[in-house]
Amino acid sequence: MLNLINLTFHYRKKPALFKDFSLNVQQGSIVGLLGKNGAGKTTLLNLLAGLMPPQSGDILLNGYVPFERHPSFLADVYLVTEEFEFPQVTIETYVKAYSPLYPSFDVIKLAGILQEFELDTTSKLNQLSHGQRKKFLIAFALSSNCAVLLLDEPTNGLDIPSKSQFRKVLVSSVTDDQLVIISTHQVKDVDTILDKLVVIDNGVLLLEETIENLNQRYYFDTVTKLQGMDPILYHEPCSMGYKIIKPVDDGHESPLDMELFFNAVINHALNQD
Amino acid sequence: MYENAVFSWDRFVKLMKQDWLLNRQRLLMNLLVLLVSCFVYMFFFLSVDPEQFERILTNGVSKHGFYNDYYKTFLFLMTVLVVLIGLSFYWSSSHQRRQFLLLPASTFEKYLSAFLIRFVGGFILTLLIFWVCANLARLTVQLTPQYGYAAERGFAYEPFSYYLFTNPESGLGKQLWLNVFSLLSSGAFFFVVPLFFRKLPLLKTALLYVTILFGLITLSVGLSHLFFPETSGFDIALTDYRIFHDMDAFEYLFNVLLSTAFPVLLVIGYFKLKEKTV
Repeated sequence: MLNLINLTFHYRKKPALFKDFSLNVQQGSIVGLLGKNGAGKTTLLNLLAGLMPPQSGDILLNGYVPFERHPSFLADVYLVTEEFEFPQVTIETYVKAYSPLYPSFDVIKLAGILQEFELDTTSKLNQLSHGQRKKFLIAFALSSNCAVLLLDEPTNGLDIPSKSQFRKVLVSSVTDDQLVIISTHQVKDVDTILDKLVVIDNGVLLLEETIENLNQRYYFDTVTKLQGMDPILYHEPCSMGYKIIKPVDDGHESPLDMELFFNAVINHALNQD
Repeated sequence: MYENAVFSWDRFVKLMKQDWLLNRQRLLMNLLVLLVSCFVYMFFFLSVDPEQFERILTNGVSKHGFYNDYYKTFLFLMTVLVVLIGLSFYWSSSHQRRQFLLLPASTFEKYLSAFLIRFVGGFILTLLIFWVCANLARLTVQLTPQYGYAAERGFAYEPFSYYLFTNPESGLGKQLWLNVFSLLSSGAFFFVVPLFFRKLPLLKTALLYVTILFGLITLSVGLSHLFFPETSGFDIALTDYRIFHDMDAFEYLFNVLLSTAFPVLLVIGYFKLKEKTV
């Protein structure tokens, strides 16, 4: 569904953000695109949405070259940006204006998600809080039933209950025909809903792995001291002592500590593994 | 899914509807402001005191003496429209630009929809607004005592119609076509050129427009001094070569330039929009 082949991209007069970057992702998964600030996550989403062309290499998403901006491609890919603006209209008018342009749009699904998010359709979009507007945008994106959903920092600006509402709604509405790519640096917000992890840093792909495989390979624990715990692949101090990552040795799996794992990947602590 | 990548009537109608639903309040408000300000301006322009009427009547100025004043007001209103057309592809933020580029429609449909609503619709509505305001102002002025004084002496405002601009008595003739072409090409300039700028597109477009205009004048002055040494100051020396019985070479040149600029600019704009990035 998504094929990036030897992608090279740089902004004008800036060094290359991606060089020979390749990635392959199939439909039916929720992919976490993780990276530090400035790693190129938003740029990658913009490239996938067709907002910018790469300098070299190929992007093929859902069978289309994004920058050609074929109407069918645009009708089947929805990008939820981190920053957004709305016209001076109500939710109802916005939906009436935009939904006919998405052939698979499901108005009933939207009503359900809006209810879940406690949003009133008669509210004026610009009178809502940032978090409420973001929830509306997420609701609209999910109701569009687009084959590809690109979510850039979707949990930024959401309060704690809204973050769990977001996870619940996302998991319940995404189907096997869809591909959802969530770009975030707030890894804890999405750690329970991801099927696959992609970590990038300075335009380089550091990791591309399914959560299932990671759970089978790494064991996450909290210990009071490090002595006698070999082999430890990565550790970080915490209030209880240390958070550690070690290889799974006896088949026992542990919940994936996404934040710890991300730090380990970024610090190249798992390279030898 | 959409099969036609360039134009689909169904998609185009949805796009126009989307534009109307989101922008109708702002468009209607703009129209109302334009209508009221145009009416007020025309009312004060047509209202003259008894002494002025006396002078008009004594000096034998015909009732058609108002053609040029109507025309100047009309051109002023059209200039406002041309600048407003510059807002067609004006995005105040990268998010607005992103949202436009990601609308599920072809570039041609988005371009055509903006052209029809802002450009064609703008010109038609402005023509209508001016006609309504000119006649409404005339009818209102006729209710004033000053007008009653002039009317007793046989003075009458003629109902305004665009035919007045083509009336040989108005003396507008060739200038009218030149101005029509100028308006269309200026509209196309303001419609297209903002696409080339990321920040302050309208201001930069206006500056470029003025620069080109002054550049052409300066070039003409320079050439005049070069080929006609007797030219003084900022005068432009033109030799009157007749091409047609009622048109000299320069008028013909400007007519050709301005009439071709319009479609050429529109084509350039389409390709620029197609390659537009966020």
